[in-house]
Amino acid sequence: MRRFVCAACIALTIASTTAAYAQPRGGGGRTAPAQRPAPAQRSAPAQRPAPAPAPARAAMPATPQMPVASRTGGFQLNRDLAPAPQRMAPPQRTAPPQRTAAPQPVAAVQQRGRPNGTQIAVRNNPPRQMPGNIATRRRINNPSFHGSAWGWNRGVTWNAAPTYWGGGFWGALAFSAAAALFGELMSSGQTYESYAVYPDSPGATLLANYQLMQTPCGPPDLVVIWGPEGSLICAIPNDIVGTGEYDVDPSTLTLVSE
Amino acid sequence: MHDMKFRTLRLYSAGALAMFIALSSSIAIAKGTVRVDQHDGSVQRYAGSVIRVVGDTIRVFSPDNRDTLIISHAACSYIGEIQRCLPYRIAFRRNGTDHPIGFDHGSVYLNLSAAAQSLPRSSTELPPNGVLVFVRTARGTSIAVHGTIDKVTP
Repeated sequence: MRRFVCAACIALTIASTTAAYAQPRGGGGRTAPAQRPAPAQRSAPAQRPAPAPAPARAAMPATPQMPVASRTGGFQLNRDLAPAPQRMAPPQRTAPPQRTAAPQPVAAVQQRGRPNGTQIAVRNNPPRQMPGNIATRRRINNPSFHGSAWGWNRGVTWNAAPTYWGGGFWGALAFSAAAALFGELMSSGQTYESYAVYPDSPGATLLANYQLMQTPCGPPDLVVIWGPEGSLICAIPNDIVGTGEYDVDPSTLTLVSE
Repeated sequence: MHDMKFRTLRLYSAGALAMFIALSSSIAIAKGTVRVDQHDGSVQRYAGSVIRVVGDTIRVFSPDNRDTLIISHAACSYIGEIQRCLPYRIAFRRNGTDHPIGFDHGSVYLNLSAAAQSLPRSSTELPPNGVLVFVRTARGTSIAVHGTIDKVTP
């Protein structure tokens, strides 16, 4: 009896394994209808090369992609090792000419700029004039974090990554990407673009710690936060952070008023 | 008597199967897979790549140990127990010579904790010492690495 049970189990296992192997290939299931004898009155469709698509489809991958070649040798990155043509230069991080030298007409200063959500190529903001009076600057301690430098990052120094907007402080927004504009600020004849802060970024942690909510830049009476690498974002003022302009100290994740 | 033998045989079989599974898993533990999607659409997959963390760099060795992909210079921050880095410099080492690769963007996720961790906003889990890398070069080549770290050296 026990032998019979064992034999039945083995038979079941083999059967289920075979079925499992047959399924991903998809060939067995699809070829089956082709092997079905066609009804006599429908001999013409039977002569169609109907069976052909099934095996052909079974042989091809589900998506029209090139086959994945398994390799055991060195990495195939020869294209990336070849000398770079001029257009492969690092992403442009300087402001375009029309935004650096040309004075902005008065009308341009007055206007609100492009509507939020406009997809634009991400780029660095032009250099900003630093506020003159350093003595009046006031540090607003981070309400959620009181540790030593880089303590918020478990002691790991956060370095700005120059290929991302804001050095990656506000998230992984690469300069090669296009992103939705999240307001822009016009100051001293310059336009400073802003983008949405990515969740889980150091900048998002900063906003959460100060209980700030990002809002598109442009309207007056906002909290304007200048982040690393000339980036800026705006937030709605609250009890902790009032209207005004602030710099970020990334080492302690604190805001310093200007 | 016969029943006893059969039971012993079954025990041996189960033991051998468990050992095989354990061995094959341990072989796979310290290895990674690299997938390179070329600009022209062709794809190469390299199983059995060794991944190491050396200082502040991640080094991915080709299966034949001939080439090394070195990811250095990144902005790293923690999301729970997962360390996420935005790299901005990668190099390709072949025959002892480093060749810089034009970099576009990418992300590195590292789980150096002792427990498996879910990636942020994802059902994907990173095992202990797990690493996940997505890098896109300036010439449109995508490099994806996943596996576990073989060794961490300062």
